[in-house]
Amino acid sequence: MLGDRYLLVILTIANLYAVLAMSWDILAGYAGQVSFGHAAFFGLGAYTSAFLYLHYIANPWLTMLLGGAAAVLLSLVIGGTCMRLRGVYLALLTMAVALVLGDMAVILSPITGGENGLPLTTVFASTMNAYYSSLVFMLVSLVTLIGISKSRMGLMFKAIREDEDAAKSLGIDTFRYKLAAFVVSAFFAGVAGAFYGHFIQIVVPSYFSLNVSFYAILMPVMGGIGTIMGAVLGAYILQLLEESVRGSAQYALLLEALIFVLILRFAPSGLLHIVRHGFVRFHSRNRVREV
Amino acid sequence: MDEVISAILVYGTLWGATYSLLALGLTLIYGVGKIVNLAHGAFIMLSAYFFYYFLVLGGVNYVASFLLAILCVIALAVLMYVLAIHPIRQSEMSVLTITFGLGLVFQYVILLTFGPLSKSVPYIFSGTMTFLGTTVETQFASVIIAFVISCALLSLFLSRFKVGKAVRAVAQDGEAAEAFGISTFRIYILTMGIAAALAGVASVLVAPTYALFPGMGWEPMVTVFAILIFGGLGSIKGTILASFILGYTRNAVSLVFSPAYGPVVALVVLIAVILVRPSGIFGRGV
Repeated sequence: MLGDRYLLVILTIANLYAVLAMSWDILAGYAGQVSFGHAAFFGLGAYTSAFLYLHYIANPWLTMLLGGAAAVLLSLVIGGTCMRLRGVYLALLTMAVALVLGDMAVILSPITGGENGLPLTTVFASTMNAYYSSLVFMLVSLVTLIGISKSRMGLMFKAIREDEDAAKSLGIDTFRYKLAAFVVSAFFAGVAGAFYGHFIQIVVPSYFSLNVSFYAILMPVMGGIGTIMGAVLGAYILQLLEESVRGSAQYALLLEALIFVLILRFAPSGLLHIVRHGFVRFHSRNRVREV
Repeated sequence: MDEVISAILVYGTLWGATYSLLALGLTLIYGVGKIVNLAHGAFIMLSAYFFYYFLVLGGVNYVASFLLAILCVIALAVLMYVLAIHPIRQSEMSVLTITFGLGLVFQYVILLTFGPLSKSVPYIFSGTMTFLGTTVETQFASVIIAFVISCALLSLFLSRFKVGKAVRAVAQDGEAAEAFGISTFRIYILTMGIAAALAGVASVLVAPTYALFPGMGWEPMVTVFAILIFGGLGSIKGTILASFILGYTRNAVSLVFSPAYGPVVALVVLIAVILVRPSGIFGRGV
């Protein structure tokens, strides 16, 4: 029995991380906007939901959606400031935002509970219940995001990723679509964060940590960037990894970071091609060999 | 009120010097190779830990520990460049992402080796000094000397020495430099080493005033990048100027409002620069 419950916990977390990973993928893998601070959305969603649940709104599902909404607001600010930004600037900006929010979570302790965070009461009838909810959530997100990726919007995303200037010259409103990508991405990441908070019943500053942002990138990289499904795969692989090194969380982290570096360094051209092809346009010098 | 102004000036200057040392190397690497090294924060962290390792755990004397720590960081930087960055240097985003991963690798290795609890390093210079009515620890004040010496050496190196001129050549036009027989590979390695060394010196000098922990490098690095962008990626003058401006600003905010708002200053500067003039003060254009 205990073993089963543990498995359910792992799978629930995998589902939630999958949504985080998918949200990163639609933004980076499809629209080419690489965020190094996706934890900002995850954490903001979590804190918003937790705060509202604790003080104002009894319905956790509503607070989760509002968590997503809060993340969307943040994405509008970030997206709004990042219009002509090259990859480097966006990466640094998003990293900085996540960092600052993490600091703020500690500083604004009357609201956020400081280092100790916000403890939450159970909202799920059982672990099984939580698992099924997370599964539904993950599947709904999966279908929605795949739907978006295959839609006209998704096509616009890819056009922007491949060559933003060319896209603009074709009359595509890149501003609007980039913003849309941010909004969609942030929403799912925010709700995932909120759900996660309610599941493990505590929301702490580490929701904003670099580690979380790293996972948001790692999962799609492992599973295959720009595929949405790959993000889900990556999420499950990550949980598998974590379980296989059970006993030492620190070894798991190191292993994950090493795998990440190795994939980036030696990835088969297929994966690397997607990565490079999506990012190559940011390179200032046009070298023939890149094409 | 006078004390506050004096404190802002004195501490701001010292911070400006510290940030300059941390940032100069990075701007050099970018100027020369268009490389954005997100593992730079890790080097800041590593030099402090190496120093801790030699001095506290190894029982080696101050000077030797200092030198060894710097040498280790340089070696690691070069190794990292050769194995991980050079092969994929054409794609800026790939370099960005892989150095991000490497920064994490270093952090987790240190976490495993030394544990999560913070460490402290003993002071090299003891006592305090007073400038303009503000008292600072001599240890921290030593940064300004390191800064002045480093600037002098760097400037000399880049203008008088053949290798230094080669560095400038590669920064101007890497392909043309290659055509003239300059090995850009060697220049990249040299620049990486210089960057690591400068950051290492600043880090070790300031280390005794801080608690060391594995994740300590990221926040300073984000500030450094804000400086870099503010001053203009690749511009040495811009970097130094931006370092001091940020140093004073951050200090003013810390002293007037709260030290906790330090990182926020960097973020605000970053956003402001990106919105108004992404190429920075002395930038060469985005």
